[in-house]
Order: sequence, then structure tokens, then C-alpha cells
Amino acid sequence: MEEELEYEKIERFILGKMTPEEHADFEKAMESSPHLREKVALHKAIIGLEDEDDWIDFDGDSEILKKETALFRSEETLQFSEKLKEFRNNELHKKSLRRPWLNRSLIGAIAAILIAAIFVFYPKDPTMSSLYEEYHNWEELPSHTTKGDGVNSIKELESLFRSENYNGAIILANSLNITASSPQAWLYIGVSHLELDQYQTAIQSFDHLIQSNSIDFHKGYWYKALTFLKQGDKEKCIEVLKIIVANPTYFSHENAKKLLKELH
Amino acid sequence: MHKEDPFIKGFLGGESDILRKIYIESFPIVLRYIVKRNGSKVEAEDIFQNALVTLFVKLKNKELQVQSFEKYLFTICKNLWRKECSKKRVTNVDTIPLVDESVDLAKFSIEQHQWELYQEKLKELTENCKTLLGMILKKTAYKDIVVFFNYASETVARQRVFKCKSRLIQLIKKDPRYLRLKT
Repeated sequence: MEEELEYEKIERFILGKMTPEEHADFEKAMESSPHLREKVALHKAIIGLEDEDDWIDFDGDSEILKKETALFRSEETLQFSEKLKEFRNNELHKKSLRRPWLNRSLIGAIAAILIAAIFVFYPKDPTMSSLYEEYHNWEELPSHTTKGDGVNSIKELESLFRSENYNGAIILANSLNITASSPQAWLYIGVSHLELDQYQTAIQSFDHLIQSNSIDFHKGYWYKALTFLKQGDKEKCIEVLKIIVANPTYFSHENAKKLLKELH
Repeated sequence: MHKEDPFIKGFLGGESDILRKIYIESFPIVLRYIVKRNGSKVEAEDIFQNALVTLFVKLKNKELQVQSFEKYLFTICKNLWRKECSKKRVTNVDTIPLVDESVDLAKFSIEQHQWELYQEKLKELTENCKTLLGMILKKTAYKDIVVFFNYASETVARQRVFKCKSRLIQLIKKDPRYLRLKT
């Protein structure tokens, strides 16, 4: 119980919810207790684990920092760092950033030389994962703002998904059977599985949508293609993309055409 | 990822072909991530370079257990950017005062190691605790947590969070790799 009260105080202190008097008292208590200071620092670090603007702050005065600094100051690290700087200055800044395939019209040896000359920092041969980073966009998932039966659950599902609580979204969807009234929920479920690298269940979810009577059934194909892309299964990804390309009204038709070209 | 892997060997040797491959495949993703968060191209280049140096030190001197070089590099870049944002927020200025770069990177390297430890310990919690803390870390309101878990009240929810957090702290502190944070 005492521990719980202390925890509550720490939370209020971190979140700035103490009165000025309480705050002053708490700081005084911290001054005389390294144990309490450590607890506060740990709580703060845990709260900030997912915060994009926050980072843990290691106590700098220790032998460990000296040892680690020695590694960063070693001759070999400095040499590597210099190589990187040189590489960055010579290649990243001085050469063109144009895509090599823009020069396909240039024929023969001169063209080859020119292509070689401008072959620099652009994804000439992008890996599946960098293509995935480029093409996936969860902002395109349907947003639910209307009112009606079942909509609150799907809004809740969407909100869990948007806050990147993928496990929570899957649990909610399974427990409330949201997909029965809103087949589009399969998209959120599938993409949540995808974010958690659970490819098989992601594919199953998108297949459910494809086989449903929803007017948005075709969206399942695009997200299925993205799943294969992330998984690195080029052949299957191409197979699904071809279905979208063959049907101009299907979701993300233009993206599918572009992606298919890049994969070939 | 092993030191004997030809790709890693090439990276540690600073081979141009390998560096070019890394820049081609990973830099555009990092650039997009940082620019989306109001960073500049130069900042993205600095972050990318510092991440590569950090990775060099880790690979050269420690046993590193990561599945994908590309993913790990991206994680380091994201965390370096978080550190930058956190510094900017604290100092409330756009320009960070110059400090010894080696010390700064060494400090980050230790913090990154601790961050990985925290993540590892989070995964050791029960499914229920993981989901609950996941929601708390994403700043989900207690009233929503009550509905989601079907708790009787917000007090019950807070008690559950307290138990899960205490368990996590216990796991972190028990690990020999745990280091004290700045207090």
C-alpha cells in the first residue's frame, strides 16, 4: 500500500500534477534519497519509451562512459568516421540524384559511361523492404466518423490502431466480432498483424475481406500485396499486383502499376 | 549478423561499394522519417552518419544479436533523432551547444543499450500487462482502458498499471546489464 502511494506521488510529480507545495516537498525528499531519485528516473524512462520527443538520459559520471568513449575515440573508429565523411562529401553531395533509368534513351557506350557516372544515391535496385517503406501508407485506411450500430466498436478499433496498439486492436476485434457488421475492420486487423510481422494471419484477414460482400473487397488485394512485399516474397507480391493492374477500378491501381514495374 | 559475414566485413572495412549500398537502401527511408518530423536534410545526413559510427563501434567491439542490419540501423537513427528532439526540447533552442562528439555518441550508445534492455523486459511481461502498458505508453486515457479491459473503475485500472509497471521495473533492475539513469 505504501509503495502504491509512493508510485502515485511519482506519477503526479512526473506528470506535473502536484501543487507547488507538494512539488517542493517531493523535491526535498528526492534530494535526500538516491533510491527515490532512481525510482523517479526509471518511471520517467518507462513513460517515455514510446515518446518520439523523449529519450532516456544515462547518468554520465561513470567508468562505463569513459570506457565507451574510448571506443568512439579509438584510431579505427576515427578512421571509419573519416571514411564516411569523405564518402558523404564526394558522393552524396557532388553527384546527381537522378534515377539511372532516366538515361535509358542514351544508347551505346557513351550512355553506359554516363549512366555509370551518375549512378549514385538513389534506389536503383531497391530491396523489398525499402519498397515497402516507400509504398505502405496507413493514412489511406478508411476512417470511421459516421454514427450507427457497431460504429463505436470500429472507431475504438481504429483508435487503438492509430495509437499503434496493434495487440490491443486485434484483441478488441476478436472479442467483439466487429467484422460481422463491418467487413472493413479486416483491414485494421490485417494491418495490425502485418505491423507485428504476423504475415500468415495478415494474409488470412485480407482474404476475408476479399471474399466478403463489402464494396471495398478489392482493397484487400493491395494490402495483401504489401504483406508479401514486407515478407520479401516477390513472386506472390507480383501475382497479387497483377490482379490489381488488370482491374483499373481496384484500390491503389496506379501504385500497383508503379510497384510492379519496380519489382520487375 | 556476424562479424564474418561478407557484408559486415565490408562495412567495418569502410568499403565504398558496401557504404553505397547502405546509403542507397537506407538513407531515403531515414531522410523521409526525419523530414516528416520537421528535420532538415543535413540533420538527416548527420543522424545517418552518427548511426553508422555507432553501429561500427557496436559491431567491432560487442556481440550484436540483430536479425537485419537495415532494420537495426533504422532503429538507431530513430532513437538518435529522439535524443536530438529531447535535447532541443530541454534547451528550448534550435542549435544544440557543441559538445565532444565522441562523448555524446558514447553516451547515446549506452542509452541505446539500456533502451534495448527495457524493450526486452517489456516482452517478458504477461500478455495482459504488455497490452495494458502498451496502451499507457501510447497515452490512452484511463477511461478508455476501463472500457477496453472491462475494469470496474479507473482506480482498478490504475492499480493494474501500478502492478505491471512495478513488475517491469523489478525485471529491469534485476538484470545485470541495468545501469542507473541520470537523476
